[in-house]
Amino acid sequence: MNKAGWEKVVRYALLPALGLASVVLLWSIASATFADTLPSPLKTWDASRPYVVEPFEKRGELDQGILRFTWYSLIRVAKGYSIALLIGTPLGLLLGLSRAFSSSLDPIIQILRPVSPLAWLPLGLVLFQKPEPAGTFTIAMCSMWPTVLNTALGVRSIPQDYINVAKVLQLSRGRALVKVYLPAALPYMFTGFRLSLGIAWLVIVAAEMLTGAPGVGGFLWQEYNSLIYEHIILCIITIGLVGYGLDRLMMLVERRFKMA
Amino acid sequence: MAYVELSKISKSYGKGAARTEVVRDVNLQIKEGEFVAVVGFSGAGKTTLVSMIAGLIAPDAGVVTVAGKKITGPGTDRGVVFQNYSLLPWETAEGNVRLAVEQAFPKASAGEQKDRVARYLSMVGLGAAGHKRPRELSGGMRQRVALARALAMDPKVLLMDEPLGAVDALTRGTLQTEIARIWQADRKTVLLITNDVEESLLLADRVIPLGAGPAATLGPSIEIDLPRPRDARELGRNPRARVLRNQIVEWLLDSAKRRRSTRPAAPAEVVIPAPAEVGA
Repeated sequence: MNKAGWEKVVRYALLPALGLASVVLLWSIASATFADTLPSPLKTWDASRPYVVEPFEKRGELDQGILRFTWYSLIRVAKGYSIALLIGTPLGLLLGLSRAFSSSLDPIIQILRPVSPLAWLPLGLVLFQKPEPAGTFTIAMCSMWPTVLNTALGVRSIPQDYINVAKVLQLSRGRALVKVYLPAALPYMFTGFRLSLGIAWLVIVAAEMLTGAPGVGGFLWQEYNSLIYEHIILCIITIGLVGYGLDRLMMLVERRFKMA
Repeated sequence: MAYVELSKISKSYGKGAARTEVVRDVNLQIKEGEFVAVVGFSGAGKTTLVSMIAGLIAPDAGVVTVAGKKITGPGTDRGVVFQNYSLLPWETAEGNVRLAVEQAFPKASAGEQKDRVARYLSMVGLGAAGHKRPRELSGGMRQRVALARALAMDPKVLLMDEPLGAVDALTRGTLQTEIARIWQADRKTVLLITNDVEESLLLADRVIPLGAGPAATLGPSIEIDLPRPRDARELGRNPRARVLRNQIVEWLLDSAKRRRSTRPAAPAEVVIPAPAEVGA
C-alpha cells in the first residue's frame, strides 16, 4: 500500500479504534476502582447479550430485543417529528415571507424554544389525558424550532436575483413559492429538518421515561428501577448509535438537495 | 413618437445624511425598433435606470412610460437580461426558458410552449444543451440561456443590463455578434446598458453616455451612423467609428473631471479602448 493509503488507514481506522479502546479502558478502571456501582464493560456485555443477539425477540411487554425497542421509539419519534415538520415548515415560510408575522411571533418562539421536554410532557398529559399523545406532543413541541427558524432564514436569504426573476416574470404568489422560494430555501430547510430530527430523538428518552411506554427510553428507566444498571449503558449506546445513524442519513438527503 | 420614455426621472437611495442621489433629472426616449445603448461608469446608476424601466423599483420623481402607458410594476412586455444571468439553478436551461414562456403565453398548448422553448434555445445556439443545469454551463452559455428566456416571452422591449459584463473577452465578442444577428432578425426595441464603448458602437443605433455619479445625468444622444452588419475588427480601422468613439469617451472623461472638481472622489471604471487599439 502506498503512503496515502496508510495515512487513510491510520486516520479512519487505527486512531478511532485507539480512541474507543482508551475509553473502554478508562471505563474498566473506573468501575474497578472508585465507581463501584458502574458495571464493567464485560459485565455490561454479558447482561446485554440476550438483547443484542436476539434484537427482535419479544419475551414480555418490557422485556424485548433492543432493536424492537428501538423500533417502537422510532415510530414514536416519526409521529412527533412529522407533526413538527407539518406545522414548522409553513410557520417558517410565513415568518420568512412576512415581516409583520415575524415581528409578532419571534419573541414567543424565542421564549418557547429553550423549554425542556420535561416541562412539556406534563402539559401534554393534562391536555390529552393519555401518555401516548402526550409523548408525541412533547416531541413535536421540542423538535419544531430548528425547522421553523431555518425555513424562515432560508426564505429571508433568497438572493435578490431570484426574487427579481419572479417579479420580472410576474409569477403569481403560489407559483413563485413553488418555483422560486421553496427551491431556493430548500438547503436551509433541510438543515432545519436534520437538526429537528436530532432533537426529536433526544426527547424520546424523556418522553418514554415519564410515560413508561415501551421503547429504548422506557426500557432504560425500567431497568434503572430494577437495578439492572448494565442495561442503562446498553440503552445509552443504542440511543447514541441510532441518533448518529439518523443524522448521517439526513445529511445524505440534504446533500442531494444542495446545488450550485 | 417615443415607444419607451423616461421623463425627469430622479432616484435616491438611503435616508438622511447617508442619502445619495443616484440619477438626477434623466430624460430618455427610445423609438420603436430602435437599439439604444447607455454607456457609463460602473456605479453611475445604470442598473437603477434599467430597474426603473423593468418596474422593479419606482422613481422618486418623474414618469416612465412604455407604449404610452405609465410603468407601475414588472410585466412580460419587457424582457430583462441581468448582468449576473439570474438563472434558477435548480431548473435546467429548458426549465428556465419554459417558466418565462408559460408566464407570457399561458393560453398556448403544452406542445406550442415546448416548441417555443426549443426554438429560442436553438436561436441562441443552445439547442443541444437544454437538459443541462446552469452550473454545468459556462458563463457565456448561461448568458445565452438568459437571453433566450428574455426573448422567448416575445417582449416589446428588451432591457439588457451589462449582459456581457461577466463573460470573458473572447466569448464576449461572439455573443456581441449573436446579439447583433438576433436583433437584425426581429428588430425589437432594445435598451443596452454597458460600460464598454466598443460594444455600444458595434450594436447600437444610438449611444447615450451616462455621466459619473452620484446624481448622474445623461449626456447628448450620439447617432451611430455606421452601416450594418458591423465587424468588430473593421470598426477599429473605420475613421467614422473613431470620431464617434472619441465623442463618447471625451464626454465621459469630461463628466468625470467635472465630478472630481466638485466632489472628493468619483468611482471611475469604464472600458475605454487603448490608444493602440483605436489607431490600429
